[in-house]
Amino acid sequence: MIRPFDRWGLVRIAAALAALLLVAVSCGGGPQDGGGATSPGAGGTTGRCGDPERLGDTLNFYNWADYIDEAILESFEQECGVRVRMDTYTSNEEAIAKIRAGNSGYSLVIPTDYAVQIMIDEGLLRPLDMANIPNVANIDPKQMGQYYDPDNTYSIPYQYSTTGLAYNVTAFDTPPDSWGVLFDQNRHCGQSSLLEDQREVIGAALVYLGYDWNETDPEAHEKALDLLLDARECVSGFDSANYIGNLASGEVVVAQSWGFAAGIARAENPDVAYTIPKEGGTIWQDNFVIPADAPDPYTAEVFINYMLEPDIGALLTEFTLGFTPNLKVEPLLSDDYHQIIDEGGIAITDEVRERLVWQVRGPEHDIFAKTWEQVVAAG
Amino acid sequence: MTDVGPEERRRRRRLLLLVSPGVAWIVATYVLPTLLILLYSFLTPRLGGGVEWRVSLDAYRTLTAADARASLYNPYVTVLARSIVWAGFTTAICFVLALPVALYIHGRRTALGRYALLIAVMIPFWTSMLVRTYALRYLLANTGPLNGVLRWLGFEPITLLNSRIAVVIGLVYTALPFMILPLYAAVARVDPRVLEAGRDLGANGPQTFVRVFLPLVSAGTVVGCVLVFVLSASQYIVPTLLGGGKVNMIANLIELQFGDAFNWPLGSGIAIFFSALTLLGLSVVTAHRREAQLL
Repeated sequence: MIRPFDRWGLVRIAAALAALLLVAVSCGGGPQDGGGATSPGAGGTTGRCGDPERLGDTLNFYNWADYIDEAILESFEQECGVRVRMDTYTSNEEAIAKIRAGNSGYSLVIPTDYAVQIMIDEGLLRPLDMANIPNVANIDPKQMGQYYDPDNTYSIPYQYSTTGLAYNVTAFDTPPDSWGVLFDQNRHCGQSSLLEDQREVIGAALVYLGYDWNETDPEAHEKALDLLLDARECVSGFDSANYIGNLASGEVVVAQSWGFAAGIARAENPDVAYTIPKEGGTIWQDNFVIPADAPDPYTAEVFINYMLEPDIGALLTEFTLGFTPNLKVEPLLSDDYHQIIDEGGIAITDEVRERLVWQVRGPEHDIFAKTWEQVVAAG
Repeated sequence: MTDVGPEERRRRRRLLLLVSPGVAWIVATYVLPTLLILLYSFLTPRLGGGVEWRVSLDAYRTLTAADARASLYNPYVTVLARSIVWAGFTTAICFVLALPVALYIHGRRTALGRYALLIAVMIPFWTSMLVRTYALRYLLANTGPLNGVLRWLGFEPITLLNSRIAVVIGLVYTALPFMILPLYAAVARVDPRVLEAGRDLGANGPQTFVRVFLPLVSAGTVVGCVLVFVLSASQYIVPTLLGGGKVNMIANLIELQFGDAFNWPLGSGIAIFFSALTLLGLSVVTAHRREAQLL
């Protein structure tokens, strides 16, 4: 899965910097002492920074591009005296390859569900010491214990979202409720897009045809392929990178979309709404994990715990427009967030949750790659 | 060979010392990775990307054999053929567009005028290709300026983006300077007296062009064509951004194997196959040609 860049990330970074300036000005205490003192300013006293004796100076963090409000990193440094150095990736494959190569130097990574499973299976992860992460108690039990890490030995949820249908309300008399609007019922040729993602696209075709999202039967794939070969003539493209902007600008009026991405588009253009089609959609979750060869697991655990503080978690989710797994964060989310998520149809109601499935990845799912090659090499 | 004096031996040793950093660089950044790719292509894919250290010929089997399911076509050969045909198209279009430009630049009276135009040709290199391709995207979009003008004139807007036309436009746009510059260099070396001699000996305009002028610029033509062809056939950014995932070339298929498909050996196999094909083509084109030395 490849994620697009958040187009309004810059605006938010600017806002965050402004906020930070304010904090800096209002804090404006005495001069820092120049020595190598490990005790960081006001830290420690808040109880959010763990044991200052054991805390490292810097934390090397490997995260999705545009997936955190950088103000959080700044405030962690202010509060706890740990500088967070963040590098970013745009696909799980990239992250797995880097960690697998060894000596990446990262103490914290945010892989998606199936990638966590692969990393656990290969022994690339280190069990989390929950004694250092008491805030794990804030996490919604519904988001814990998923298939990829049933006991949450190695992972704690970061954010989650869904995959469904984003559409422009002005282009539809009645809101679409089926994947058909991107397949054989598409009335918006040249103005619609599917994700560039083999599992999502073929999965949607499979459920539309009445199969399971994770179906590996060749006959089912044959039928899905027929459907997709026709559909590709009509959609403007397979696009995971530019469709947010396209939805916002009206270039595209219906698109297979990630939930958070539909939120970003809706924030720019209120005509954009989102739904999980009646045939079903997917749910996915990104997670905090610590590589087996992490240089500083303790500091990483303290940072995870910090991220699970309600105020910090709220900053995070207001930025990503995903869903927070943190029950204490939910009441803190702003009206703006709810306007986008609830009224935009992005929120997961109980009724919607029943239609969501997890995408699993095993060797038997190689058939998706074969079907996908047939789809993208045609034409 | 013949015995050489100590002076000559010293000179050769100095020369060797001078070239060794360059050679080391090429070995480290080109030769070794290529060998690694060759090695990968004979191993077994691993879930999540990477390879298992078990020898397997599956990559080449998949590449050459039709899929077990009879109804399916071979996507690798299809896309490879498409890349080659489109690169050929692009080369031809670039040549036709670039020759008049090269002649025009050469025809400027002052050196200043020539340099100004040459710099104008090179200016696009100063901007990231990614940015320029995004600009093309915007230009060709349904809601972009081109369709805006069409709509304003009362015509129906046309879908340009994410089509074959868009990709070919992008390929030509990206490669054109690589044709203009060597052609200009060749045109500038043509002695006008030779053309005059051709006319004096009774050739008419077209005959002079085809039988005197074109052979004189053939060196530049070969260099330009090879550059444009190789560049275009392996393009990744253009088909990705202007083809919308629907109009794919060989680089997209390779990228897919290294990404979502979790099949590095197959990706390596495609890359090796494509490189071998390109090298073979090049050696045919440049065989027995002194111009090849320019490459």
